[in-house]
Amino acid sequence: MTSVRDLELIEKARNGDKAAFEEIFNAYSGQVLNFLYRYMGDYQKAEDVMVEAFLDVYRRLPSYKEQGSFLSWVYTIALNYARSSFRRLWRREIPSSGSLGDNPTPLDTAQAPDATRPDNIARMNEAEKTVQSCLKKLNEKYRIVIVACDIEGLPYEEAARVLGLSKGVVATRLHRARAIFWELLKKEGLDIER
Amino acid sequence: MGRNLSDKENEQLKRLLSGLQKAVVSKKARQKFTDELYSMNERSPEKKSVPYGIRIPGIILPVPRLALALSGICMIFIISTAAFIGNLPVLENITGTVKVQGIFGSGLVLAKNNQRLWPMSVIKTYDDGKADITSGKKYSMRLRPESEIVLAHLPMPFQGKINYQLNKGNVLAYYAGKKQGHKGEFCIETDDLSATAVGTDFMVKSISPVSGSWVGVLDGVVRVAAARKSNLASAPILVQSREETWAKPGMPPAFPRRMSEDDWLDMSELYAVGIKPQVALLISSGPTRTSELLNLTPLYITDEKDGSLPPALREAAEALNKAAKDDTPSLHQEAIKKVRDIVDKSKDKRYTIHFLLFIGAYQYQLELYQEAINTFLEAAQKYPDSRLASIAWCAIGKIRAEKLGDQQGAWNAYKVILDKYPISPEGALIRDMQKQ
Repeated sequence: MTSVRDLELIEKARNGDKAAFEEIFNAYSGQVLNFLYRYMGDYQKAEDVMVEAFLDVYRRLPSYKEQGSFLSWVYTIALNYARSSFRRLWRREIPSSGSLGDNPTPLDTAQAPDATRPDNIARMNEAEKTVQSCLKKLNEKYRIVIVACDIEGLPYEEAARVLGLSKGVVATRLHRARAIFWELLKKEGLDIER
Repeated sequence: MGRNLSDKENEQLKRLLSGLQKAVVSKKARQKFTDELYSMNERSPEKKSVPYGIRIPGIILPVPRLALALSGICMIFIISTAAFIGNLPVLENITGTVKVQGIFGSGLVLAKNNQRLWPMSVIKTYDDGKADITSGKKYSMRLRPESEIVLAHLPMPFQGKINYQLNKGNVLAYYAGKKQGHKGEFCIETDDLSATAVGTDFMVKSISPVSGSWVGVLDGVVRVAAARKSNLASAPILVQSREETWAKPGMPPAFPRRMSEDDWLDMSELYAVGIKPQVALLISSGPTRTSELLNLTPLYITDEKDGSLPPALREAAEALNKAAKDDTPSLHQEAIKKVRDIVDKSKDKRYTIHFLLFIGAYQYQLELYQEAINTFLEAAQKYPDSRLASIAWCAIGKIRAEKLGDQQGAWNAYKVILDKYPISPEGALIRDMQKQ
């Protein structure tokens, strides 16, 4: 659900108030970037796509209908940008598995529990790397549902709206995606039970 | 696909993923966003709809929407007609006397190469005649002498059932429709049975009104059922690679059994039909194919059109035939060298893995086990995505286990198959071995 405060900001931005839209950007850009980074596997490209998508959100605000959350609407636009950016890339070159996700990623370590302990940082970085490399190995249709539902925590209905699928398809794909992803993580030797 | 996760595992996975660190927007990106946002012009008003029309610099000549709609319908009609005509099969490689009767019943007339066949066309070959019927890359058939077939049903492109009725004689068929996006079925019927391809090479013979009909499968799987008009309520049977079945008049198809060597080699003509390769290993697609390979299965090299074989291939074929005839070590080595030259020098890499597997099997027969292992390893490592790669690993395992007594080395090779090619016939074979 979009908060009343955000709805006010949206209304102002719709009427051309750029400062209000900047506030919206500050509130949502982190989540959208995280969504794109986990989906695309490349931090730098994800950030470029995120900025491009937000500028487009501003342009499209007059057509925004307050159905579903505002964030889902932004995710939908961002996802379209990400997919067209993939298509542009593929037209130029087929990305090798090593070329995705190699850019250094500024991650918010402060959010993790006991983040200051060196052994935790090392372990988390290792898990991060493994999860990211396994995400990259997942088929696109499975990766996107894992990112939307399990990483971003979208309920099935919202995820279905973002991905343009039915709720049932999202549930089935997520079920399969988790099973495949679990096997990949195990294969990479990640101790998930810890 | 992985197994189903338990509730606990689901929870653990969700906890891991929701606890991942969050990406942080860099200052640079924030700056870029702010700069671009403030440099944007005020939103332009909604674009007004422009009338449909022909654009000439400066003006737009309006065209009524009805005219546009009509021209759209005409375009769709033209495109679908062209697609339907493009979907019609054609006659190729006609030799001897072959006649065709068109849909308008003008009697049988001599067939020509590249002649299109319309639904209900009858194609008849005489004792000296044969012809190929091909439809793009979807399917190819060879109608052998003294045969008669009817194109009973031709669907719209990419869907529906393609149906031929074999009235007499025999026909070799290759169907790749599923790979080519065809969503329907490919079926050949006789008076006694119907054979439906499941991505495959097969042959159907309508032997005689008394003896019934026969189906043999070279590759893939064919579903064989009693003919519809026989009204027999029997379940269809699946005939696998290198198996045969037959149905006598008024009887359901018999349980499939292994085909004789002669029938099997007789069907190898399929490799020359339509777009098939010039070089092929004659192995089945079942779990016995590694053993077939190590027993030195024939390497089928076809030269359908005179002079179409590259010289190196011709020389290799001659050297192999000579070595097989005179059976001396030096001739065998010479033959291997000739085949090896093709692998190393040929620009056409399509059949390289076939050659490498053949060389490995040849070395195995000459009891050069370590060299055979090296060759199979080269094949497996160079072509890991080939559907024949699992055969190479299986052959390595077999040689290590059965000839070198190296059980650990054999298991290492089998493990590669279980990891990388679990759904291959070799994967099934190894799982069976494990159960025993």
